Amino acid sequence: MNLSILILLPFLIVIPIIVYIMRPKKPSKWTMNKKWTYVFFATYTAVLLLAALTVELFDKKLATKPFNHFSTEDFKFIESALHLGNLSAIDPSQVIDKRTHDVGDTLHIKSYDNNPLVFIERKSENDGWIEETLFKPILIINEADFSDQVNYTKPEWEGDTVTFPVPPFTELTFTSYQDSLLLGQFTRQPPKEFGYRERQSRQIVIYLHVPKDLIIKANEDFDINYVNK
Amino acid sequence: MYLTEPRLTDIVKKQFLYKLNAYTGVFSSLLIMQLIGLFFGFNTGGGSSGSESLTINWRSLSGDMAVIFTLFWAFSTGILITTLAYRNDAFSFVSTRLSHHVSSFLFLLVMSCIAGITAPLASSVIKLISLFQHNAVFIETSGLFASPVDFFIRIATAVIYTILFAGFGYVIGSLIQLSKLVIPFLVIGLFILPLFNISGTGFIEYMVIFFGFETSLLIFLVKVLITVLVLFAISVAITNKTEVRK
Amino acid sequence: MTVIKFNNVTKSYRTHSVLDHMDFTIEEGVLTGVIGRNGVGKSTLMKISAGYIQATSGEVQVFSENPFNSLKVSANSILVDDTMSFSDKLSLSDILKEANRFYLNWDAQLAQRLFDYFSFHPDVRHKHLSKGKKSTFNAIIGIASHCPLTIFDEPTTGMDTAVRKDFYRALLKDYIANPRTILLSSHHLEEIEDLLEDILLIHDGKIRFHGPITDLQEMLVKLVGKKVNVLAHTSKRTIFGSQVNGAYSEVLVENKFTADEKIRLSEEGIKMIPVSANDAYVALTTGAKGGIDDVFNRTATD
Repeated sequence: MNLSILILLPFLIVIPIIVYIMRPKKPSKWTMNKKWTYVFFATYTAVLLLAALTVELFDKKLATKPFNHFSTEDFKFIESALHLGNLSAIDPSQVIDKRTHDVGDTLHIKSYDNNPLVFIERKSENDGWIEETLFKPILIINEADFSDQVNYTKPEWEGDTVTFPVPPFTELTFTSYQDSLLLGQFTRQPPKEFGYRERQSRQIVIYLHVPKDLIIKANEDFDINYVNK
Repeated sequence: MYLTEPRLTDIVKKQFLYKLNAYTGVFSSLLIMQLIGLFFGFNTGGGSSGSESLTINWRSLSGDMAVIFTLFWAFSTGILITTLAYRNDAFSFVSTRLSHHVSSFLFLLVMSCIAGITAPLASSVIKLISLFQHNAVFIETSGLFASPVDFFIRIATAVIYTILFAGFGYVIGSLIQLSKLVIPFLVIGLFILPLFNISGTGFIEYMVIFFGFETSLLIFLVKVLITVLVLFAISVAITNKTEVRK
Repeated sequence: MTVIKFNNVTKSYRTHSVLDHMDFTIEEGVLTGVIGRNGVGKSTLMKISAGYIQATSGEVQVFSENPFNSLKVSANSILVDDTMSFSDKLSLSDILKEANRFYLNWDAQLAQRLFDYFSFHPDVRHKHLSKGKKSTFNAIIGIASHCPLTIFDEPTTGMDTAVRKDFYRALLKDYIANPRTILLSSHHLEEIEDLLEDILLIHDGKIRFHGPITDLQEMLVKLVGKKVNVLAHTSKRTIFGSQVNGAYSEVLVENKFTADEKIRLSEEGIKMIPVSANDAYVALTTGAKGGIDDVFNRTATD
């Protein structure tokens, strides 16, 4: 059975209703005369034109570049730079904080369910300091950068212990607008798939430069990426 | 009293101007239909997804509904204008069936142009309102300044489709005027038979392919013009004996 | 010049026929009354003349053209009846403006004066008018359009007596000032007989009489006299109506008496009384069933 034809069934229902509503009725006491019809319609058209122009101005100023572009490639580049320990290659704007903590022989890691991404790189010496670099969370929707809207909490340091708290909740709303798909039949730019297409996200990254022989104690299931240069 | 020797073009012109005044209800219905289209345009789609710490809600807005409702309007207006009441209004003054058809068709043509221009513009209202919301907005279609050619192609497409729908409405309206029995035949022929995959009955499907899959605007325009002229000729031919003010 | 010519015209619908092989011609510049009982085809005749509907068979010519789909006929004629409809988007003053656009002979001043005289409000919608007001408004359009062929089909429906008189007077005055061919239908002959030049009397889809109104009056005569005497004279004639008052009887017969017969009638004490056009009309259109009296007479005897 050819089911695509079923899409047209609403026509069957809607058209008679419209014709019924629009048919010439018995005279009602209130009918808009031709002058007012024209006035209403002219107002409507004026509003449309005004809206179109306003939108165009907004479009020019804001909407065409409302978000920083953040491609999947950019994202992958950061992740691989982290894995390679090549921090200098990463845009400094990604760094939220750089801290140092003195530490004894052992570092205790306390964590809760949602583990942040932790990289540990051992230094060539035992200087008794941990250098901590925090990278901001990343959220890319449809290749646009929403990272700044993600809430996060920095790790808490206390003596030899670091605690990674549960990341705070983030709720984000966005709107996607597209002109009529039907009218894209002949446009030079073919209409794209729109709405919610793709998402890349992660929470903050903690990158630790630790003394050479530091003992690290963590839960068994806690995942640490050791970076070996 | 001397006899006047009227010219058809002259009477058609007069009737066209008369219909612009007398059929203003068509303007109000267009306005209402596009407003309904706008309303539905705000509710096209959306959803939410996420994990424990991150939830993303999104809404999709599009100008499609304004266009679809404009096409509904065009089809219904095409039918409506052939009804007895509209015909009697026309025949209260000087008219022949031919001049009535030609002036009605010109009227539909002009109305389709207006509707076709306002339909894509109507979606800019959706766009504007969405920009004033606090949320982030993706504008996925570039506008007038960014790609002016596409903007006008979109308007032209809307106008041509509106004319096509009005033309189909007009010929179906004329058929119904000929006999009310046409309605069940049309419903069965256009909607019921194709469900059973009987060959040669997929008229709507064929039309969708014929018009919807066309990629050249120029060829599309030619296709629609020829189709509409044929529909018009059919309408004139089948109603040339219709009696009025019975 | 002949304005309307019907040659053997029949109009039939699925179940019945309305016009039955009709022949007549209407000459230019004559005000003709189309008279007949309800439903005998007056409106059908007029709508065929205006080109709104088509004859089933026969030839119709208006201004030497078939009126159906003739632009010339449509531009030079107007049919005023209760099917005139105007969009409810148009106010009455809008409608007058539109009429001005369409009818080249339109007399805007006259229309406005009549409009004011009958105290119409310019912003009112046509569909909101009462029946009588609607008829009056339509009649104004009919008069002011000054169409070479102006047709009024029962134009006074719903009008009150004063307005009827005003309308007929307005029509007559305008007709005298702007002579043209006018068809005027009514089933009240007595109301319009002073106005008419010719009468086209329709009965059972056929023309029963067509000619000057005075000819209609002279067509019949009423014989009044002793029952026996009258009967002797009328037995071989078509009787159009009779009434018995005791020993006397009144009989309507065709006025076809020779001079000899007339002398004999007066000798026998039978009076020949002329009849009014209205009586003649009623008598000619009573039909084979007889008058309303017959209905009751039969019930009494059965």
